[in-house]
Amino acid sequence: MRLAIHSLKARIFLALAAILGLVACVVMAHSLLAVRESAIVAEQRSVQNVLRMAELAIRSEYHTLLAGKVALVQERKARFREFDRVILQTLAHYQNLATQGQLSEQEARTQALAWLQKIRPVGGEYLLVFDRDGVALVYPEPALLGTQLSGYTDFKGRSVVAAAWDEADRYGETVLIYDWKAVGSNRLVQRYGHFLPFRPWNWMVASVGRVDEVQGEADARLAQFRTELARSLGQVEVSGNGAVVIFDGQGQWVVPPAAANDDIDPRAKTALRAAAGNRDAVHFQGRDGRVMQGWATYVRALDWYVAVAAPEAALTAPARNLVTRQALVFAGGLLLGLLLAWAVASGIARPLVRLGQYAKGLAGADFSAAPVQSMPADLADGRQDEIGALARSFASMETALYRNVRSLVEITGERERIEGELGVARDIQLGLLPKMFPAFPERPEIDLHATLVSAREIGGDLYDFFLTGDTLNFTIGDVAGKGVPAALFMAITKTLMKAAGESCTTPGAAVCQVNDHLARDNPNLMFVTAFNGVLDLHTGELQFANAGHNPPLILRADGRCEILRNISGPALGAFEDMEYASFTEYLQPGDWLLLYTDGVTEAMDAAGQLYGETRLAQLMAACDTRGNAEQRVNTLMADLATHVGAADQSDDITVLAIRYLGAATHTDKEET
Amino acid sequence: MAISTTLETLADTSLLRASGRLDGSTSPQLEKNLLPLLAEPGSKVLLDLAELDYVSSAGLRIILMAAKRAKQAGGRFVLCGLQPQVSEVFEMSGFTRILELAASVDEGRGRLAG
Repeated sequence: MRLAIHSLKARIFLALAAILGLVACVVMAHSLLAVRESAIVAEQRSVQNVLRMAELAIRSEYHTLLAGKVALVQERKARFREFDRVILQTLAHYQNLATQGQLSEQEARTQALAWLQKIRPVGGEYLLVFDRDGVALVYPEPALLGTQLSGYTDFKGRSVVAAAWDEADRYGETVLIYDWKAVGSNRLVQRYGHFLPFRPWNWMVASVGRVDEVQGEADARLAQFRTELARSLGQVEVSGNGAVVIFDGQGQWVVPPAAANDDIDPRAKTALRAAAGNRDAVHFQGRDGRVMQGWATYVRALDWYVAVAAPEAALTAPARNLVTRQALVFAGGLLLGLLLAWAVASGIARPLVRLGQYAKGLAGADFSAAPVQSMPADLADGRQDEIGALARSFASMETALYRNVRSLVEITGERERIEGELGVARDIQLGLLPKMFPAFPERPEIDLHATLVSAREIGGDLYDFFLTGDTLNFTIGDVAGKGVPAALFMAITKTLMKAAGESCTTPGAAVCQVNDHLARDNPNLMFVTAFNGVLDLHTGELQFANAGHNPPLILRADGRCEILRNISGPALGAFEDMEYASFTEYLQPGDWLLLYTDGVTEAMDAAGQLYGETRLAQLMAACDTRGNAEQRVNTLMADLATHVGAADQSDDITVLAIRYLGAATHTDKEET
Repeated sequence: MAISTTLETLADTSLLRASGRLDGSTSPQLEKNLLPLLAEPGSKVLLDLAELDYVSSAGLRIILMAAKRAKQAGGRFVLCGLQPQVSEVFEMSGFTRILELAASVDEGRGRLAG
């Protein structure tokens, strides 16, 4: 489906996308930074931990070595003590022999010395015996026997012989560590000895051992430790081909890195040595120019620098991987969210689109046909939300449209029927009136024309004229009110008037008869104003009766205008038994008689101004006297139309114009 | 194009004043207000038309009906205060011969009293 940028769907989708994108960006940026930081720190810490572990292992092993060395010395000392005690017992035995007299004092001493010359202390180098003066009695080098030994000092600077006697006198026995010449040479060798005096003869017996013997054992163990350390550290994995190494204070390798990881040159060693113990990493250039980070720690007892180093790229790699992975997860989530947003936007917009299609369909529906509910049921009934409410409104609108259009169609039909009937009624009504003009072409004495314009389809005005012998009987009338009642009353009046005109001798008698007929049964008091005239075509004598009608005009041939104001009686139909007088007037050849209904004089313009009798009289007086009756009627109607303008015609308009032209030059009275 | 009426009751006489225009569209209103006054046998009604500017044939019919009711019920119905143009319509229609007319309200009351 096309996504128009202004559609609701697009807007909802874009809004959701923007919100999702913003949230994802903020969360992603924040978490990526945090993750990166913590991943790097974690990696560095793990590398540092390797260093720490190595350092701890070394320190612990060193302490073990040290303890082993001490224990060895202690054990040697204990062994020397036992050995010296045994010697003392033996010496006591020799001295006892002398005391018992089996040997002389001198013999006992000589035999004892001879025995002492032959034995060596267990685990020791040699046995040393000297007297209180420091003269050697037993010594591995026979040349020194009988010589003074006081030239040798212990590590405190005291004479070893003097110190031995001094401490032995004080504590009974003593252990001393001191430098002494080696056997067979004058090289000084560090030694230790257990000194136990044999009081009876003032001899000092000492079991002597070489310190370097003990040290040698410790060194062997240290060498073994280095080997083990080299092996075990070689197995320690430091991220990205990093290495744990040990070098000593002189920069010599103790545990070198594997050949593949040879990133630490003398400059790096110097830097690491300077930064030993720091938490922060030392940065230096490794093999192939790669940037390394390293940490170092110093083990003073061994004068060792334990260092760990790893390529910076390897340290940050896990962070980079994590960030990449997380970014992918975020991107996936965002994509999922956008798909969801699309679905939501579509879900909201789809029913609206369907409603739009439905409304479009409504425009083309034929509402006059049988009602069909075209609203999809799932929209109108299936939804409880605003769209459902809108759909229900649409549906009820559709129902109402069907109902209204149907009733409109019915009303229109009804109105058309009524209008049709009114049209027929109008035809019938107009059919009652004589409409053939010129009306009497065979009678040159008169020129006559009439017109009737109803305000509605049918009206209450009437006119009529007919010849009876040489007289013209004519009537004009106006039923009070308009419409159907007036039309019916008009038809009755016209019929009655014709009958009365034919049967009665005078107009007064005729209208009197019509009045009685009309008034006899007239509950609504309908009435009709009427003017009835009888014109003798020979003489111009005009007899007339006026039952409440507008006074006709006589327009004399010489231009004078007279108004026939005589009233015979009230309008017809209101009251029975009224009397109506007849009046007489004379027309001269060329005179006009103009009859009209109040639709003429009371024709209103838009401002409510009436046309009026005065304007009528003036218009008629100004008319061309040579014109015929039709022209005169048309002139009046045209002037009326000018006056009324755009205003509605308020009343029926009827005009009847009769021109008396004088008696015919040859009479044909007998023939007609 | 409207008509308004006010009703006063003076002793035994109802005085209805009509003002405005009395034509086909306003005559039903006058009919409604006027004819009930004449329903009672022997009722006396004075219709004051001093404020009435225009009357059409439909309006005349209502007045004729009032006169006829009065006659049938043995009551009296008098018109008074007709303006010249209204009076002219009455005269032209010939109904002045049937209706009782008075120049003013006072004269009308005098007639009804007499």
